Amino acid sequence: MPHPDFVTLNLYLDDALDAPARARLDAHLAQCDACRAELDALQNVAGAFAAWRSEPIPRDVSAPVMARVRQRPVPGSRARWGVAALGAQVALIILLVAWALPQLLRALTGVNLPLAVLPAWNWKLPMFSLPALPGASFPLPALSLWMWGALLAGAVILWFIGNRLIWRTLANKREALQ
Amino acid sequence: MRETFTFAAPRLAWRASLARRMDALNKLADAELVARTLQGNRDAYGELVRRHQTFAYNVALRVVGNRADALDVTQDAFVRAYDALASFDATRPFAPWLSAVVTNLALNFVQRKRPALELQEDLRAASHSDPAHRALENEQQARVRAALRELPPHWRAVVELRHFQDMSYDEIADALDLSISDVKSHLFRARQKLKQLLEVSE
Ligand SMILES: [Zn+2]
Repeated sequence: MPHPDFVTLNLYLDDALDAPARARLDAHLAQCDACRAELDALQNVAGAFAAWRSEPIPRDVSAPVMARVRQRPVPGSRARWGVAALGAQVALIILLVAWALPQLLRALTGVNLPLAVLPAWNWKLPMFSLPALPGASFPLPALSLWMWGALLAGAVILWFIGNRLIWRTLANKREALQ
Repeated sequence: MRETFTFAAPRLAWRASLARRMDALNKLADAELVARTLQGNRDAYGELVRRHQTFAYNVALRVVGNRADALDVTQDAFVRAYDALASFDATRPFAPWLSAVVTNLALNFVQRKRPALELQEDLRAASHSDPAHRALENEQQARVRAALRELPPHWRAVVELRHFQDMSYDEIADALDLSISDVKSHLFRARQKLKQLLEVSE
């Protein structure tokens, strides 16, 4: 084996070489004084840190830290609130879509959703059986499919802006470590 | 005068009860203190701060290199760690996680605050003017401290986590948001430089 490079010696020092590479290097070190000296020098660097003694903190910081901590929300509480708010919104959207989809389809395309496919809509949950629904045949403005799409996209954008704060709260958890 | 007198008795009683609560807290393990903090018991966090402040201060000191700034970074780090406590994995030890928070903050601080040259002057002045601290430092430690000071902040942060906190490449990459190849390159170049510096000063 030729002399190992500096990177290999470092990986050896960190015990990050796989077993065959390690064995090869061990064999080389056994018969190469130059590389052993190089490794010794590296180990001295690590050894110098091991001799480090902690010094005492000049003053107790617990009081000023706690004064600031007492002003802050319990950790995780805002994130939990954010998850709950997002979950509530998603649930609301699913309900709205389930309620409005058959009517929208009928109004826009004339297709009657085969309600028999989803019997729950017919008799398990009467609120979804369209004729029984208050305002079941709400008048839809005569807009093209394209316009409806644009309206929907606008609503989604507004929804995202409104939720930015929630996203940010959730993101903070990770950012705190960076 | 009269006012302080009338308030003294209840305040003493409150102090005594506070002391009893603190006494109970200091017998708890870190993980239990974290759990209580997450339940809203801020005194539990106060105990964590008292327990780990010397450790956190020394991490900050090695990365920022001067005592006044290290003290500021330590305080900010404990507030930051409090905010992020929900993301701490309670099955693992608290100190390494705290060291990652401190190192990150110290690194941001050094990069933001002032040019390295000014910082070095500041350090030299601090270590000469403070006989109490100087006495604590043996010659070897002073040499290591001087050598560390010569490194770019990013290298110092990686050296801190590898050599003082004994983290793996993976853990360092995760803690500092670096790629593993960056971790290795910072660490190996730092060692190369330190090797030269320590050889010269011998
Ligand atoms: Zn060799």
